[in-house]
Amino acid sequence: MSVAQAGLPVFRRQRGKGLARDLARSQRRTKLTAFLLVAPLLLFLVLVFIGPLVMLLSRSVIDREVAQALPRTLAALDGWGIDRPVPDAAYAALIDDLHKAVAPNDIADAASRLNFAQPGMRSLLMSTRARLQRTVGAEPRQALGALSPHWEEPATWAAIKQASGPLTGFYLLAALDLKRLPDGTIARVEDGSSAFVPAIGRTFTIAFGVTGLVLLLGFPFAYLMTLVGKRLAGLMMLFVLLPFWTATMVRTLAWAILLGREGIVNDGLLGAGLVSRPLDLLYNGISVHLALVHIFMPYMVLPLYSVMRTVPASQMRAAASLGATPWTAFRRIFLPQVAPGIAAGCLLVFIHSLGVFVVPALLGGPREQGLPVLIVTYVSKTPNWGLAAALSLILLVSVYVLYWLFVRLTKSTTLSVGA
Amino acid sequence: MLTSIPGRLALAVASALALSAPARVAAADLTTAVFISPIGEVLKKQVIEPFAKQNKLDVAADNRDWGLGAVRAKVEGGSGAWDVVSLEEVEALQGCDEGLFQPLDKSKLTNLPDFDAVGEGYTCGVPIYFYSSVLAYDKKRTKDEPTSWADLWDLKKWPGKRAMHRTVSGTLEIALMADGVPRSEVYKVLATKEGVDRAFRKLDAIKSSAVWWQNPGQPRQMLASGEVALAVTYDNGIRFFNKTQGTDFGLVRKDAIIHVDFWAIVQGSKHVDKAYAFINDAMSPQKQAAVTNGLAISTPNRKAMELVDADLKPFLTPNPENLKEAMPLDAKFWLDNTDALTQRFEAWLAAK
Repeated sequence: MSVAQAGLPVFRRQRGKGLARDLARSQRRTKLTAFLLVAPLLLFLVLVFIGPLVMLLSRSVIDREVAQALPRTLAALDGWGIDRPVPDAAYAALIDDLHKAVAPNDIADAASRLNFAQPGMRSLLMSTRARLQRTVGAEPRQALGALSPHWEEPATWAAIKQASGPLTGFYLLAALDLKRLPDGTIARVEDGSSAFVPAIGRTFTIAFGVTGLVLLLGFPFAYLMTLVGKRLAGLMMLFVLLPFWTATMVRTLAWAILLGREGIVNDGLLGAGLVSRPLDLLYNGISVHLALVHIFMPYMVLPLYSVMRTVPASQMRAAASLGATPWTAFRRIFLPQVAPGIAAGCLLVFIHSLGVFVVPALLGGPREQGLPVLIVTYVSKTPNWGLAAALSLILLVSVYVLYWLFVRLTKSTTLSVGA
Repeated sequence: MLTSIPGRLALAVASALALSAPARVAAADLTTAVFISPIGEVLKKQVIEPFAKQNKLDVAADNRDWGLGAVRAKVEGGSGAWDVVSLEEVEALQGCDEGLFQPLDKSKLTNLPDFDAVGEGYTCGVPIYFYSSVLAYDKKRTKDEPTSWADLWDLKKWPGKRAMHRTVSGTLEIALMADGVPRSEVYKVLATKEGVDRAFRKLDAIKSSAVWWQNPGQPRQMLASGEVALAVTYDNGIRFFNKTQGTDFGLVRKDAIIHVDFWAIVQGSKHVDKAYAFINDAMSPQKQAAVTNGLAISTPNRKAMELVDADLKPFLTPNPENLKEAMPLDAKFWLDNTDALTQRFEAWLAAK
């Protein structure tokens, strides 16, 4: 009776291989079971989070409005370049397209899209459509030229051609203060007409500043918490957690009241005779940084405290007994062990302060408005989803690049939020 | 039975199902959407609720956020559809073009002939009320009273900060008028590149003294706390603040910029008849006067002006003295130019 007849797994000549394969097979089953258990959550995340995120970000490169509204015009402009005169066929095609647009909203999206590239195109397109309804049978070029001299300008047609899609770099370029000239080259936009790159810079500057301040203030506080007795440490922990109990809006407005020209801080300083005129503490970087440090302190202190608690106090004493100065002991014994907590705290605070919107909007001056404020403007005020998506994409990519750099730099340290 | 596991399981499943069953809410007879602000509150109390009670209808009053993006998301989203929406001018124009709102059959609105020419020419909207952007100051803190937009630039007579609206529409007009451009020419000048450059150059002069507000409640608060010496703000808010907070704010009527808000009916609304009835009722003299008395906001209805409180009348924009000094915001101009000029404005704000 062979082993195979007994129904047992057949072992090949090379025993190692069979064993490995069996191991893999049984491991596969465990992995499959684990995957199936996680699958519903994964599906949920994909449907509710990743899916919509990808759809939103894709709006930064998708350009469909003009292709949907003016298909014949785009077909007629195929192969045309701005160095050549506009083909007659394009005029006829445009009139054809506009006649097919029965209701204004058939071309409203395209009109908005073109207006982003060239102000004035919205009303040009909408009014041309409205007035064309009443003129029939005229020669296309003459008819359009009579309605507006803009139709004689190659730049108008170039704008239409540039929006042919289906994909476009228009929004991404605009988000980086660039634009594509009619001849195809990429150039910076005119000085003073848009300032997204400085806004990106400002967002990161504030984030770095806040992270640094929080680390500077939070580290000693967390260290103090490890030194005092349990009850006092608990009380200090309570103070650290207090900000979590008030809504962000309330905290922010409270700072506005405290820091005003007739607020408590200025009143106190004036009363104590330390200043002769009220200080400018509100609607500038001071109020924004103060409020952000206040809001993000717990995110730094908690990981730091958790990690610091795991460092035995006896180690510092041992170092002292071996002849190390307090600074050396701190630098060579304490700091390397606490580094994971510092890394985790800094990362948390940094990423949070990149996306903060309420505090700069309420407490900041114009120079504290970063990307989040701009993104909200383009979503709700002038509905320009393409630009909002492009700015969001830039923010997302910058964060990932920074995170990757951070991980590379702290290769040997793992992130930790406490044992 | 409940001690056994299958029994407990059955009970758990049953209660989970019961709790998760969607509550059956009867669809309202009419759904309106008003701004989240004191204006919205007064509209709800003085117009929407009385209408609902009078006609024994279930009228829902939703809140809407500023910006056409919010309206479009709601209308195109389709759930909990709005029937009647209150809009700002540019939203009314743009939304009409985009087919979000229906062109109105003005003959169905019997109260329309009582309305003044304010807010005319909008196919899809009729005015609810209007208000003006004015220069405001605290009479208790300044003895000299400013008389025109140019005084906003007079840092010697009125030292201190100025609160200005963080939006390009309205601000450029103020800069041009302060630079000497007469009201009637402002939009002609603004249509040229040199005009826009001129406005920004003028704004450079007070850039360091300007504090930019986004919420209409902020400039009133800033004036009251002495944070700013002068503020660009809305006239009805000033009067309302004076009445409720006991402050003594004054304002400059010359060259005020008029803003009109509109009612519109959403395309695809299932309650069009009720919507027309509601809008017509909201336009009646009684309801218009009630809103005006509640908010110190101006009504375009001539008959309503007779019903307005006597002490309020000289203050309101429709008062002929005030109307002849005011200039309506040109929504068509801003429809075309908001995108480009907002970008330039943001760039200007952030530059040193």
